[in-house]
Parts: sequence; C-alpha cells; structure tokens
Amino acid sequence: MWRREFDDLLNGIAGAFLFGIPLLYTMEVWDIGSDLTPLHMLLYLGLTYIALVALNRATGFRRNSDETWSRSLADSIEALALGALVACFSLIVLRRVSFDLAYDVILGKVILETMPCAIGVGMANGLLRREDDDEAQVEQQSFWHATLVDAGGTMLGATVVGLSIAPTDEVGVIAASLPPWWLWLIMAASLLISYVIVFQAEFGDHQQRKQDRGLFQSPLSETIASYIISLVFALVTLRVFNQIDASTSLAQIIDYTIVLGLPATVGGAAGRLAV
Amino acid sequence: MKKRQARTTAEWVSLIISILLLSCLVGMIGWLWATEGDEPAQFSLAMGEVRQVGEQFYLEITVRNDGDQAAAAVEIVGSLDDQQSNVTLDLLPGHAEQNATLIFSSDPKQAELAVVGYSEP
Repeated sequence: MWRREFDDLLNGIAGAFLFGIPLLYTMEVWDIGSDLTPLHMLLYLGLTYIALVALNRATGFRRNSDETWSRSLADSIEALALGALVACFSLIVLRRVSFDLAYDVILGKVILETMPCAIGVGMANGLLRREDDDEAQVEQQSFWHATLVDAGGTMLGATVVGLSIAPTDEVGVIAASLPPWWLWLIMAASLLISYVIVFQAEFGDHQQRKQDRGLFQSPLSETIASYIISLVFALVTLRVFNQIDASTSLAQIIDYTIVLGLPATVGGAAGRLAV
Repeated sequence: MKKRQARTTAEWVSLIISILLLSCLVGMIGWLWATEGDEPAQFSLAMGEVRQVGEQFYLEITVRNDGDQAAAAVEIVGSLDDQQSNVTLDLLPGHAEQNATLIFSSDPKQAELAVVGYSEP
C-alpha cells in the first residue's frame, strides 16, 4: 500500500519535471514571479487547481484511480502540492531562490513555477505510463539494437531540449550565480530526476523488467549512461550556438555543460519514452 | 478499470500532508497580503570593501530597496573629486538588496554615492 502510494507520487514528480523544466529555465518567469501581488498568487493557484481537476478527470497521476469527483478533487490538491514541492526544489537547486531574498519574491517565483509543474503532475499518466500493448514488440531485440534504440532516443530528446535552452541566456545566468561546489548538487539532482523518470516509466509496478535491453538494462546504469550522453549533447548544442568556443575557459565549459545537462537529461528521458 | 476502492491510509497521509503544505503556502500569501504596503521604491546605499586591482580601486556597494514596490534600471553614481563611476541594476524588488561594484582610479573611501534614478518595471 505504501509502496504503491510512493510510486504514484514519484510518477507525479516525474511528470512535473518533464513538463516544468523548460519554464524553470526561463528568465521571464523568474522576473514576473518576483513581482506578483498576493492577489495574483492566489488567483494563479486557484486557476491551476481548476485546470488540475479537469486534467485529473482525464488522466491524473494515480494508477487505477476510480474517477469519482471526490477523488479528482483530492488528487488535484496533492498534484498542486507536489508541483509546489518540485518548483521549490528546482528553484533552490538552480539558485533562483535563496533565503536572503524578500519573502514575496521567493513566494512569487515558487508559485509561478508551480503552475507548469503541477500541470505536469496532472498529466503524468499521459506523459509517462505506456499502455501494455508494447510488450509484444519488445521480445527479442539484440543487445546492441536495444542499446542503440535507447541511446538514440536519449540523444534525440537531449538535443531537442538542449536546442531550445542552449541559445538563451539562462544557462549563463544560472552558471554565473553558482559556487563551484554547487555543480555537484546539480549533477546529483540531474541523476536523481532522471532516475525517477526512468524508474517510473520503465520499471515502476510493471513486473516485467524487459529482457535484453542492452546497456540500458537496470535503472541505475540507464540513468548514468543517459546522463553521460545528455552531457555530451549539452556540450554539442552549446558549441553549435557559440555559447562556448575555443577561447572559453575550461571552468566555464564545465559550468555551462552541467547546468544545461539537467534539462538535457530530462529531455533524454522523455526521448527514450518516445521511441 | 478497477472496482471502486476506498482510499488507503497511505493516500490519506499524502492528502493530509498536501493539504498542510498548501495551507502553509496560502497562509504565507495571506500574511504577505496583510502586511503589504504600497510604498514606492526608496533606496539606501552602503559601502563595502575596497580592493585594488593594478591602478584601479574596486568599491563594493550594497543597494537596498526599502520600499514595497520594485524598481527597474536603478542607476547608481559614485563621485570622487572630479571622477564619476556609475552602475545600473536591472531589477531591484521591494525589500531586497543587491551588490554592485564601482570602479575608481583612486582610493574611494571618501566617495559620494547616490541613486540618481530608476524606472517602474
């Protein structure tokens, strides 16, 4: 019972990251968030709640939830709270929120980022849970074929997300505000988020661990392999957009790559789900 | 489709925690609302450390907005004898502070600092 609940909550969290990450890397959202009035904050929370109730009628984040109204209303409360947690966590990890800021600035940013994250929770089933009908096609893929398909999906997803974030200023702004040791935190968060998504999508509750899945066989090795691929593609997209070039210092290259690696690895996980 | 299930204890626990979290959030907004003022931006400046780099002196300053409203393009001018240095902050929300640095070519201990203008964001 506890396992299942934990599983459902993780599913919601995975959805929040998948949907919310692009807006977490948007400066305009931080700026607008720092200037919200309390009235708008309440209004946005209320609107998000209404959207969530509608979403929960359709998909939601729980497995096997019977669709009674009371259940939808309660699930939406949880989705909103999960969204707020994810927004808060991400803003802290990206150093957009720290405790020397004014309370209304912190609250405004958190609430504005809660909107996409909570919507992501509400769509988690749609984003993550595949129907069981793809079991048939999994049967006997060779080791290398399976590895290639997953690696290709990761590259695709990491590139798509990388392309949309690399040319913007956010990477530089975030990187500039971090002390070096903070990068470890971002790496840890990237791995953790990627693990949650992978685990939810491929292994949660589904008893059949697919066989012969190549290098991407266990959640742990899949997470690490996909993180490395995502870092490489983060680096490539940064180079493509001239964010780094031959004259850039090594420290800055590392900074930028790791900061972009977080959304890239989330994109990579999404890419693997798509293929 | 499963048959109708009663909510499990685990679901109740997460629901209750969620309600607590959200009430905290809503409570904080309420508190903000109650204490919210409508003072326009007003600034105070503090000098920090000076460090010398070659021939130049870098003066760290802290700009604080004591008003309730945010200010954009906050321009700070430091004057010392006949020199002037200036810096512009993109955005300074109400009750927030930000650090900046002014650069002079002689020791700025005696420099005069002033915020000379801002725009509404």
